[in-house]
Amino acid sequence: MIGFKNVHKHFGALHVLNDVSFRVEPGEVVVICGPSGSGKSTLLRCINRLERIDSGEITVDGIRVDDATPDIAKVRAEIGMVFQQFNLYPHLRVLENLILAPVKVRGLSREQASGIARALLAKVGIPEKETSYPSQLSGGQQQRVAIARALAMQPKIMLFDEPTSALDPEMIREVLEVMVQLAKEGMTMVVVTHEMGFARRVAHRVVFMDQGRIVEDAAPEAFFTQAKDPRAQVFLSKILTHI
Amino acid sequence: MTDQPVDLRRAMRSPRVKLLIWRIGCGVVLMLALRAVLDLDWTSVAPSWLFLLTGLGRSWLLAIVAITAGGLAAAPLALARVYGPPGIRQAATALIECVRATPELMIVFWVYFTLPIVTGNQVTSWNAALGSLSVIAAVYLAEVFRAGLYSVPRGQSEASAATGMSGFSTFLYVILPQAVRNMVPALIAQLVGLFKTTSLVYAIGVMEFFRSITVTNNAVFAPYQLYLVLALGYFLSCFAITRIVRWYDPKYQLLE
Amino acid sequence: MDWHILWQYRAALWDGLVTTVWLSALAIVGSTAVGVLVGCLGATPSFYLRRLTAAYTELLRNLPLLVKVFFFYFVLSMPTIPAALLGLVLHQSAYIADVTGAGIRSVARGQLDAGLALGHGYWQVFRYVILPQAVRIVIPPMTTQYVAVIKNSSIVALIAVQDLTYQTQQINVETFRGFEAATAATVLYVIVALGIIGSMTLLQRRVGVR
Repeated sequence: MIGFKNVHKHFGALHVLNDVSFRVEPGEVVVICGPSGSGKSTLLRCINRLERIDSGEITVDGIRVDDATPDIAKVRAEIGMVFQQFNLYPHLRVLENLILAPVKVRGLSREQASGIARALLAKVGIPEKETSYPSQLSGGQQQRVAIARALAMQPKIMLFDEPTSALDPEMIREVLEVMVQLAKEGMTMVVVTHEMGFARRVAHRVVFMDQGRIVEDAAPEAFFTQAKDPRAQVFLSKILTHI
Repeated sequence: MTDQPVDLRRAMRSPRVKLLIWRIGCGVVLMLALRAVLDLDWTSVAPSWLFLLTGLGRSWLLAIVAITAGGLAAAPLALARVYGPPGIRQAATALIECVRATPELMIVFWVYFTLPIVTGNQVTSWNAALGSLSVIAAVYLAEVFRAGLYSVPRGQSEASAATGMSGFSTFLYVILPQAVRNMVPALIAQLVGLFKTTSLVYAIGVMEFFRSITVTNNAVFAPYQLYLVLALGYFLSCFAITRIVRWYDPKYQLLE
Repeated sequence: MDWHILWQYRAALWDGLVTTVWLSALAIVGSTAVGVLVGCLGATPSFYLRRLTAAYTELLRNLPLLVKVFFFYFVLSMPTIPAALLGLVLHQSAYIADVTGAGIRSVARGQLDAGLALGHGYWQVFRYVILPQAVRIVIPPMTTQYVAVIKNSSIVALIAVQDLTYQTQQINVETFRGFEAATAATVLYVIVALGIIGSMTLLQRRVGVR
């Protein structure tokens, strides 16, 4: 579904992605973790070309997305993305946030799009908030709206960029519940997160990055119990005592 | 991947290559401009170079004196507006806002034409220029200082107070250093603005850069050449102000 | 003090005020059109557009308004009114471009990513997401710019356009009542500025739903 082949990317002198190759199969849930600055968010943002790469090849659903595709918007329409800072449109009500892309990109009628949007709002547990503005919602509710907004495009893949890092602890659970439900429905998901409980419950693989490289790529149990790389062990010891 | 051919499309997209292309483009334009400038006849203008340079020097002098005097007056104005007791605060606000709402040219005229009528003493145009530019600098700088003081988050003074610092120490050691840092961009804008404003005292007969250009033009009639000198003189002066401050303040370079 | 002089010269003051107002109004419309266009182009992801618009604003911001007006008046020998108008438009458009660009960029951070990730093209994100928010952000600094146009328009008195400043100088020359005339003119300038601030506040309220 997603394939990286020898991908390199620099930010000035910083080598943020250093010869990254990996694959995500349809229906797989992959959790990416690693210390801050390890390149995990950049890797995620390359999948829908919010970041350009310097060399290498990235394919999504058989389509090259690194450079060869002139019409990246079409590919992006098939990939949902959820951001750390939610990035909801503050000037639009919740329902309008959800239907903007289906109407403008997919060309659905407002009624069709609203129907889908209402169903999704019910699914993420806040059907009553459709006429609210984002600023009137709690962080957890905003992030659930953001997930619903991404799902409204009926994507084949969902990307999550630290979706719970900006949330208060009591709101993290409500967002994770939605994500777990999504994973169980068989959605292909790539999730950058430090929520190891989530990884344990639903991830098929955990990828550990450090200094722009993929250092570990293993099933969750194997990753938690027998990580080979010393950097991964240090990271795990820090993050697991934390939980 | 070493034996792969260079991907041209990708190479054109790299920031470094784009910058290079941009710089080459700028270079070509500058060369063409330089050729056009050299094609002009400069013989009639050349003898006036010292006179024109003196004019530019006077503009700089006006700006520096006005900024210094204005800055000295602006500090108490800003402090009165931010920390002053009730009556004083409103008075400072009213004074600043009234002067800011008046066109700069009106202020120049006001000082030059009306002060003598009120006081009965004649004011030289040079002193009127210094006075009016200082007044202009004072009210605009007062606003810059005020914005700088407000730019420091409330949590800073609370945190400082929590450690037992007095109000004055909090202001001196916590608020002021941060405020000054945050003021730098606005300060540059005001310095540049004031330098440009010095051109207005042309209207009351001060022989600053603008008037020295027009006077020269009346004598030798070389409008294109002199206009180039005029534009270049102001542009380079203003450009220099922005660059000097950026060079002096390393933090500002990081912001770019 | 002799305030009767103002009543005696009321026709001149009125003419000056009318000239100032319509000249400023045209300058506001023109500089907004040019400035917003330049600002929008400068906020696109295109490297060359960004550099070009930055060069435009940097060049114009570092030249006094008087230098621009004289360029059209003396160097290009245009009539006074068009020269004054072009100078004002060119001058203020640079500042308006900066204000617009800053407004768009402050919104685009995050919102652009979100829109692109959903499959919108740049112009769709710009039109439906960034622009509606940027308008609201830009209104207060735009108000400052419009007030600046009114104030800056006084410079046209120096090329003998008979605006408010010019008329006060005439009164001063004829009667030596400069103080009264300057006071009256200042009050009128402030009233016009307040009118602009008031209407911009109303506009802010119209578009400012949140």
